[in-house]
Amino acid sequence: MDYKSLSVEELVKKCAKNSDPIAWDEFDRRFKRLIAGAIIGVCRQCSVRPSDVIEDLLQEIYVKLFADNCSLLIRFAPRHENAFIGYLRSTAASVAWDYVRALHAVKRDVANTVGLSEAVHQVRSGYGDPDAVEMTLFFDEVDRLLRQRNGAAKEKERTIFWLHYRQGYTAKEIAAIPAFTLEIKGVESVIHRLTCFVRRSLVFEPHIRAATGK
Amino acid sequence: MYNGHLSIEQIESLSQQESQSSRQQNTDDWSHVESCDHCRSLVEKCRIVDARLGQLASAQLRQESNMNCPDQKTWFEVAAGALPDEKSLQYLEHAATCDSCGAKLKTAVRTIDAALTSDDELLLDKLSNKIEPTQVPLKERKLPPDDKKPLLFFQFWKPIAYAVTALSVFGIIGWGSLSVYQAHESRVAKELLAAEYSKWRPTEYRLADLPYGPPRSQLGAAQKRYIHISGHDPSYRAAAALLKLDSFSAIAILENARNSGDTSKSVLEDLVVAYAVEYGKTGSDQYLRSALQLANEIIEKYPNDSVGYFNRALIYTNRNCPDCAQKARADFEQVVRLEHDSNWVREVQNRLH
Repeated sequence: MDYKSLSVEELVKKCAKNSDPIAWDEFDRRFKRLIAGAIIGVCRQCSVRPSDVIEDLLQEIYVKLFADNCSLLIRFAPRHENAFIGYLRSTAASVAWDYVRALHAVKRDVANTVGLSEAVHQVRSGYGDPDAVEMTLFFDEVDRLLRQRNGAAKEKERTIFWLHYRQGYTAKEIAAIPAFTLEIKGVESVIHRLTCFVRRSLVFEPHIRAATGK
Repeated sequence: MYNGHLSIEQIESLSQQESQSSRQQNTDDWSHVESCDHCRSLVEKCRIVDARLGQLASAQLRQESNMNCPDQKTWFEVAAGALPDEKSLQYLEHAATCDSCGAKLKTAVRTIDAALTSDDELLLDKLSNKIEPTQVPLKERKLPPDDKKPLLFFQFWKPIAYAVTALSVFGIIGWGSLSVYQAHESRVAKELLAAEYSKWRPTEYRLADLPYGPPRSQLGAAQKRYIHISGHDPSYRAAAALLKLDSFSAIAILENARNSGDTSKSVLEDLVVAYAVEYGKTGSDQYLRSALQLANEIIEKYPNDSVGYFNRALIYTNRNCPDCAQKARADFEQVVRLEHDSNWVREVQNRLH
């Protein structure tokens, strides 16, 4: 059988149903670099040298896929196009993440540390600081304006706006998130349009209302 | 201009111009702003809004409780597109205004979207060609011990103790009958394989502990034979896999056995054959190198083993090194000296002539 001509979903089904090594060879050929890419990404985020762990992690991910007669593959039900690619990448990243975190935890006695989010939360709580109060009021005001907008994609656009301005994401990073289905230009356009909307709502509309007496 | 003032677009444009050079491009507009309090005030307000938006990412805002925030695994799924878009958008909406989740999502996006450098590409090229999924899982080898395990043990010590006692009793009773059954099963498997193998052998190479069988090419018979082996002996299971020309499975079975500590002569000899056959199927030189390395180990360990010399001679025949033909001949001559079965001796003598 020519496995090279199969679609991703068909190949996954073949691999899940039988242990034909040629099917797995094809699986390996198509997806090894993708899995390795996710592992390298995690290593880079955690300052670990990929060469130290990549072979072990690749092995670990394949073992997971093979476990319980390929139950992970058998149970996988594609809900949208490219679902399996996403599934494989996220699984690879999760396995690598858990592994690297476990390594770090052993090195630095995790019992004596405070979670980063908790520490940041303590430092950034901002209660009582006049600047923080002012910024919070500004944030609430802008968020209220964005929620009042009309349009089919207003929630999606509000999310993009806050990912950019509140969380500091670049347009490239936002465009990389598949659920938005936007190119970088598309993201930049959304941010520009909403920035103009906020500016006009906060600066020009009060003037217009004052001038017209409404 | 409207009513003697600048338009909204003009004011917005001016509010984003800072440098002297850009000011020189709109000299009329700037001279109006300098003389008009209304327009100047609007330009300033626009700048304040833009500045505040720019400061939000580093601002200290009130944070909602993050007790129900999704874990990192979920953010990997969102970043990789593993979830349906509607579900992902719900999570993204949360991440947009939650600092903790915003940071986790950013990590996930940068991880999934990481571009490979030339060093990474080199590393990927160096990875072995095929992953053997049957090796011992990493968890069992490398991950640090889980601190919670002793606690769990003490929590459930009673049921564990009962289970261990019951298992011991059943084990003692079952062990005797199992040993008898396994011996019988093993004998049946060997007879079955020997019968098939003596008709003709599936490859030129020689498997361990099996009688002589003429090579397949001599008979021109159908390629694959399927026999069911129910025993647990890795050599027999691998031999059955090789009878159907499934060298990949044979390698997996035998490597698994080797990793579990079974380095018996039969396992190693069959592994040499499995690697050599896999080389014949894939053309990948690394399999032939593995086969040769193992054959060397066997001969070093068992210097009177004719099977090891026979297989190594064939490996040398398949290699393109300057003195390979000479080495193959020397090994075949050793087989003639050591082998007691006249069929094997005759086949080797034919090869030597």
